[in-house]
Amino acid sequence: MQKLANHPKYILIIWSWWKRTAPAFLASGYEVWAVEGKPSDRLVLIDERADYAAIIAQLLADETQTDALVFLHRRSHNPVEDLKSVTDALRSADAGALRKAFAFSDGRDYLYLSANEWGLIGNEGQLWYSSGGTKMRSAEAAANTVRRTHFDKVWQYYSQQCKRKLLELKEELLAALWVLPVAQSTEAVDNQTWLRAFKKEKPLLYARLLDLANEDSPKFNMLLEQAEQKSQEKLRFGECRLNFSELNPADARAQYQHLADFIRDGIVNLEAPVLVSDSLRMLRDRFDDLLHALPESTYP
Amino acid sequence: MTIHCITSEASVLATFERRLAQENIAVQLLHDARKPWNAPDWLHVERLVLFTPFLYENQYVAAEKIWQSWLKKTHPRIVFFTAGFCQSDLGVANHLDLMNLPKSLRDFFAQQSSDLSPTTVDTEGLQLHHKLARFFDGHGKESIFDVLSDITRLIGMAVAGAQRHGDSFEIIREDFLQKLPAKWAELNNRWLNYYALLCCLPVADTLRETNALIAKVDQNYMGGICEQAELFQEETLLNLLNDIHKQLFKVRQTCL
Amino acid sequence: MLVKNYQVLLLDDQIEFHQEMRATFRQHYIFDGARTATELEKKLNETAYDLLLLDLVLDEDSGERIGLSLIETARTLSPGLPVIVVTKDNDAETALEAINLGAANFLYKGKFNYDTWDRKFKKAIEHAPELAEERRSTSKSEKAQDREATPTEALHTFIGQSPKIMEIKRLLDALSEEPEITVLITGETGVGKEVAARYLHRQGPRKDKAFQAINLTTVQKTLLESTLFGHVKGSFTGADRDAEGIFAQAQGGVLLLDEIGEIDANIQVKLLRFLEDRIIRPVGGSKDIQLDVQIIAATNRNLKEEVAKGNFREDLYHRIAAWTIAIPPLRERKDDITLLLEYYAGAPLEEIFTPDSIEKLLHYSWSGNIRALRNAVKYMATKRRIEGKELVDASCLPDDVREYTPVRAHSIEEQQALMLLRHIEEAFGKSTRKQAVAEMVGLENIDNLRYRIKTYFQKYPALFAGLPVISQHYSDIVK
Repeated sequence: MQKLANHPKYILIIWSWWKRTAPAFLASGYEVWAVEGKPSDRLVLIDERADYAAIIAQLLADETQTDALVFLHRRSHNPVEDLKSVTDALRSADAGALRKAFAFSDGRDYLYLSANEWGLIGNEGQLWYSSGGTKMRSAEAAANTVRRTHFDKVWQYYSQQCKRKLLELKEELLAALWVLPVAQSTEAVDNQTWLRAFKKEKPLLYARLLDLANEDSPKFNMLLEQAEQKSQEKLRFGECRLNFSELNPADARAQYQHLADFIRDGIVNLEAPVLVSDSLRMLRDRFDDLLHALPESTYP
Repeated sequence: MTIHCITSEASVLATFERRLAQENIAVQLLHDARKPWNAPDWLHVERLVLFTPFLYENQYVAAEKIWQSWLKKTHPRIVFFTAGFCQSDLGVANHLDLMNLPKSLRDFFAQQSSDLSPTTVDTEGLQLHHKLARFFDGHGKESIFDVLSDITRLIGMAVAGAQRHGDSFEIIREDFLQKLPAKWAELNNRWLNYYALLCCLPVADTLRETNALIAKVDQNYMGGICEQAELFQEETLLNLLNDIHKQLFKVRQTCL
Repeated sequence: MLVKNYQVLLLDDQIEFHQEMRATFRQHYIFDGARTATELEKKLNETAYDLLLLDLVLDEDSGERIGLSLIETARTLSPGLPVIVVTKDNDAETALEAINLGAANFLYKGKFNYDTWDRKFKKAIEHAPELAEERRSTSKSEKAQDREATPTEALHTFIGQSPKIMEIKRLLDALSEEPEITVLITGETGVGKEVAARYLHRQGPRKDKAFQAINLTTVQKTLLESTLFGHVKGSFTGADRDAEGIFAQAQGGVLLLDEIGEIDANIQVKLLRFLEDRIIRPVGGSKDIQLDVQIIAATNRNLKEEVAKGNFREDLYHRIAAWTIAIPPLRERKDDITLLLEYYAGAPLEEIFTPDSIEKLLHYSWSGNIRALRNAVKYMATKRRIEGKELVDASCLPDDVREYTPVRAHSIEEQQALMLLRHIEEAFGKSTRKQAVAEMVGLENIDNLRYRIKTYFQKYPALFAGLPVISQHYSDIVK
């Protein structure tokens, strides 16, 4: 496993900061805030109306070893598409740097103080949130300083989210597949036959597998959507898929591609006799290769 | 031959059991890893398999390093293995890759001695030994020992102020005692952040005892420490704090 | 007795700690404070302090914790200023490192005891000129001092001026202020483990209480428990009255348990119980006895290996080994040979030995260490007297000294190989991935790692004896 070095950390939030009136947001289109007790870390507030990709590229041009998370206020129904506008600017030439991008909206995400007491943003371009007479602050405006715990918690949550999701799917999926009699058998079977049985028995797991590989299936997409609504849990990989394929270090991007290709060509669409135990082993190896290539840790 | 197992996945254990039955090896669930640890009867346990990572409190936990250390110090005769869907790696002789089982499991289990492999596999689960190390030895607010040591020192200094300098309660409160409620809240906060998670470990009983001691200090002392002049000088308070330190140190010694 | 207020500079980034210390020690100490390394340097440049208390602080540039490196800064800016390092509880490693770097003592931040801390401050301040002087002092001053000692004291005088021994003495001085700490002294036979233990006893607050020593291999196994913990009448054949064990005899003082590696599992459990709860139970007794005894354990074995082999309890090992003082063999501190020869011979070397014999004595390996050296001096004195020689010449030397020829040391390449292999061995303890190991030891890739290990194995197979992980997985690693 690659280990993350102790790089400086930047959180960049592209939002309606311009709505702030006192004091007015800087005309340059961005503001840099320090992080309490962590001299090398930064919170960068970027005006959503500015050329934010150019600002990000400029800020990170000489910071190849800096880890960075970009948050973009959602502009359409497809956050992955929205985020594509920043991936080029965000990508680092340094394999050890952690770079990720996420979308946020409607006060629901972890980034919001309204959703999480350790969040960073409030409403209308503020770093505070007021509710029922209680004012929650994530920063000291007078000193242009962000509170360290808020910064760290948000950092931790988002930087680890994708890897955690990946490990959880791997473990759940393999636990469900390995116990199938067909997985213990030493005889070859038709791939689609055993897969049909699995889809029927564990449709949600199958849907998550398809989603990870970005394999389109309206039926299973809908299933995932319904399950998310029911559990209030984000099951789809969404922006994580973009992070795996566009933003992670080159090695991890390649490993994600291997995994996605194998899910598509070696599992989902393969029409041939297979030794299921071999297929599962290969699937496992590809999951492990990607997990080991991601530099972040899986849990706080 | 009987193999005792700790796992959070009942269906995986059932399949494992069927596979081992083919070689006349019995399997017994020692503990359901989804639940907090309850000390079992170790008497008949000779070989223990920890399925890793296991699901506990919605996280996939990798606790094998702690288990390895704990067993070595408390039950050195037990041979420890890990099993899971993670590739076995160089030098990890006691890991069973479920996706690549050896031809003879009997040979696998029989060959191992209690002299354990020095390393464990990297499952990418929550590395509990790192977490535990941070809990004990992290810097500043991260370390429970640091906060506890601040509290013990403040009380010790308060006692010295009263007994050596004859300072009034008001002065002692201002110099030392008034800082205690915040420190104590910090300790409680840190404790609560970890307590539930750490209860999946074989030292859960010691942690429960520690929890009871913390509750005792909380109920009997910390509420009134800035108001009642006699509380901080009670010997029981320092003894309780020392006991908390002792118990935590015991956990640290056996697990890390 | 202190009559003046001493100026103490405290470096700590916790502002509360400054206030606490100021309030608690206001009677005899005036505290000044620094919260960063920059502030510390500024204060040291401006003011002359009597004592520096040094905690780990945040470095403004890196955000990392620094502390120990500041000992050197302080020593450069204020030569002779005594430094006491403030460490986290039970952080023996940092404390040890601090002493090695020149700190006079250490404090555990959570183990506050007014008297102990006050005593440490005073001792550091009052001994500060001595410490500076000690480094400059010549061997003669120590000899003169030693010669005045009584015969029993002389036998236990801790002689040595080599940097290693000076470091050990400073560490023992510091540890003597921690009367609850268990200390492990390791070293080959004859290096002076008991002398070090007695030195520790003499320096500390237990100096007026008993010092008891027992070599655990010299007591019959069946009698060891009763010898240590005592027995009650009738507890075994021959126990016709209650008897106190050596633990009880050491009450209030220090007990040296020599050859600790030799005790069996039963005694190990009882010793562990004592170390954890300070309680013993005599053989055949029904009541526990609470004792206050500081334990110093000594061994010439590698206890870690004994733990690995299952011969020694790991929990007991951790209890006694946190503070380990390794006394180097004489061959690793050749500077002290002259001193010891002069000490035992009672005169400068040139007054007793011929230049040839001095040469031989100084280059001998002294595998039996100080004990062997002392016996050799006695032997040579007798031989010289019998043969009526003015000076000890080659004919008076013991045979093995006279015939000794130094063995070949490792070549530089072999030493480099050993160093790299040790790093690799350590790295395999942290990761099982060859790529990660290669990166950790600074090799570009796995091929390079394989090549190095393979080549070294062909050239220096003997080096691999001390590298169990690489040896065990050699074929996996190089394939």
